[in-house]
Amino acid sequence: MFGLPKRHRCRGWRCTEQPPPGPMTLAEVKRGQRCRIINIPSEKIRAQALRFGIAEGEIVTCREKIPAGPVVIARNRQEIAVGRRLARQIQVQQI
Amino acid sequence: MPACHKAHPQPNTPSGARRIVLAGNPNTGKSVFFNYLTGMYVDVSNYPGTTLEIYSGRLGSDAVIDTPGVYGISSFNEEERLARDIILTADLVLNVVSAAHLERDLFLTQQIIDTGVPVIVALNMMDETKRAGLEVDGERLSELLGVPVIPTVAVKKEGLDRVKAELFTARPGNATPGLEEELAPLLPLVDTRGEALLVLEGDPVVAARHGCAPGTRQEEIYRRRRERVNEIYRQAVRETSRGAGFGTLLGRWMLKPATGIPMLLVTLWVMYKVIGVLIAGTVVEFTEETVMRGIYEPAIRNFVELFISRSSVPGAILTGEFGLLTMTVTYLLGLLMPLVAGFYFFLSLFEDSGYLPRIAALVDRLLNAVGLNGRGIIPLILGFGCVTMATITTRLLSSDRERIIAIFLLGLTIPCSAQLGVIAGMLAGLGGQYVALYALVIFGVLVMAGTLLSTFLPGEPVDLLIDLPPLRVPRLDNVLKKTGIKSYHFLKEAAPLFALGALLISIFQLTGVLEFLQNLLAPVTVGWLRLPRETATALIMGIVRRDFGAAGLTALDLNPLQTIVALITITLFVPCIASILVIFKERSKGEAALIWGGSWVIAFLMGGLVAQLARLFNPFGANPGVAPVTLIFAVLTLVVAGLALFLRRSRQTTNNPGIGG
Repeated sequence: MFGLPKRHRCRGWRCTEQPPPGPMTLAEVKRGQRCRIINIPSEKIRAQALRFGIAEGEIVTCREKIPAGPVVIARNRQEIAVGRRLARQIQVQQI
Repeated sequence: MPACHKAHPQPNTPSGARRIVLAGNPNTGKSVFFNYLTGMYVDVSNYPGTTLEIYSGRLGSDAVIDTPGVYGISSFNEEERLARDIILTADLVLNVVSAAHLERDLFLTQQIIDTGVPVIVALNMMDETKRAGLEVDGERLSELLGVPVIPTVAVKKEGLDRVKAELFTARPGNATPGLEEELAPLLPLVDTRGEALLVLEGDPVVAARHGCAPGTRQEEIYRRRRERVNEIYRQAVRETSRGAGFGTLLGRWMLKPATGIPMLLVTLWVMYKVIGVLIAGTVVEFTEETVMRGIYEPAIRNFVELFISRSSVPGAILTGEFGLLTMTVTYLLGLLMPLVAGFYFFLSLFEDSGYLPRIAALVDRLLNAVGLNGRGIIPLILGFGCVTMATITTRLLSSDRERIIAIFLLGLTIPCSAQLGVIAGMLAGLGGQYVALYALVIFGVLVMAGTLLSTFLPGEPVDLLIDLPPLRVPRLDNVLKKTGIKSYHFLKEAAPLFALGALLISIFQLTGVLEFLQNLLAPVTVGWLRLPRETATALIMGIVRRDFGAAGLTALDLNPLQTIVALITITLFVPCIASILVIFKERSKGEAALIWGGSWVIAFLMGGLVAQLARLFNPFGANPGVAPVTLIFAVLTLVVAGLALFLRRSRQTTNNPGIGG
């Protein structure tokens, strides 16, 4: 939270404001949305994610967001849970 | 590339025998293949230089070696390093993959093929593909990989005979494109192609072994391998339906807090009913009292007495109060074994069904606060069974930092099942507010210790990145096999330590050290904790076994507040002697000593704080102020945890202000 630039924070059906265009983080993707992974921060994480088939440039679906907890993403049949702190560092582009 | 030199770290196999290595992702059913190929004859051995155990057996004159389940071979954790070294020395690899999970599993397959070793693939769990809405073309897969592929359903023994018969048709497969050219300059410098591959992939350990600089191409090679695997998947697997069956739905519910938390609570309640009531009560009553105390102990005592008098020193050590042949054996087999097996049964059930990673994801955020990630839930739950067992299990955590935190929290705050039984009995007679005070102080100490450790230990918490495999109905034989193997391991590792602990305490007792310590402690127990002088005896017993300490309290005449103070102190007190010996074995001496000493300080500090605060609020002691003390502890916990979190956050901000930007 601290040290992060302010981003689109409102949620729920009353919200009419559109999310800002351009790159966002995986933590900001909503459940059910699809996004393209733009950047994964650490080399080690990139290598681990590649083994699961999640790579920069891939399109993934956000299957579930555990409140304040991990973001569950899926590519085809493969599902992985990504810790929230890490999800905040993964840059994505909404589709 | 600097000049490499050849080096050859070799696990021992008799010369002439071929090394057949089993490899695969976690939970693909490798163990069934291993048992089928080797029959009953299994060797469990510690691999040199690690604490992990590997299984090896024989098939004719050849050796069959199992490896831990991994997603790839490199140096990410201990299991991977071990799997890597075994695979690199294989003559052929039997790679077991899950047919319903090929996108994930084929990455390892392709990496093994890239090492150049002859490979044969067992396409396991073929029966699950239909339910998952998939159609897998084994022949096409074989063509694309360039190695034989045999469809199997291991638990139903389908296809196993074919695997055994065709094992030696294994051959080197089609490598990731472009790899040959990159490997060529390295091959003359390094012993084998497999090692060359890992040097190229930047594996620091293998590179150091050959005196090379690790390559910097890991990511690029991984990416190309992933592309190739995706292409193979596209060509060999056809999705017949979207497969949003009940399993998918249930898996989703397990993750949503609104449904997931109630499901977890029900699961824990069932676990409590089975382990805490059925096993700890009925089963242990039979195994400990009837079998061990009723039949075994008198028999062994009479037998030993034929040779040595019971009152002599060796007699006391062997069959006395803490006897090596009496107490140690009764405790291990009669009390611990049923409980440990019960816990491992549930753990294996959760593992096999795919529930475990979902629990980890659900509780990840909570455990982040104490410096662990979701995976930390496994040792913490196991700690309620046996802290010694849980301490051994902390090996699965991925960083040293997490292991220290988990081990410290286990030793300090988690009461093991044996102790919990006695504590629950003593709490039952008191009012609800006393129980609340006890629970709050113990939980508060866990939160405070965790947040403080997480703030002040160097390093960063490891983020959760965990595979959520599709849910499936657990296979009972698989679960039972795992339970058996894990329980056996526990017994093998813990038994010598329990024996050593019993020996030490017998010596203390016989030499009078025990009594000396009791007298030494008296001023603290009476003055600071405001407990009777005899409480010191219970505490000293608590050094040996946690439940001994708690049981020692039942003999004392304590008022409700004194009972709570005594229970808080004994719960936070040092882990039992077997646990601390495991900690000495797993960690450095200094760390273990610090954990042991720290438990003394924290136990007395917290127990005394409750006693002194209660006196402060009601100096005449008729109706001590439980409510204000509870409140003060709640506030203390919040303040300490909040302060620690604040410190951590502000430090993070100053260290890396650009994160996420």
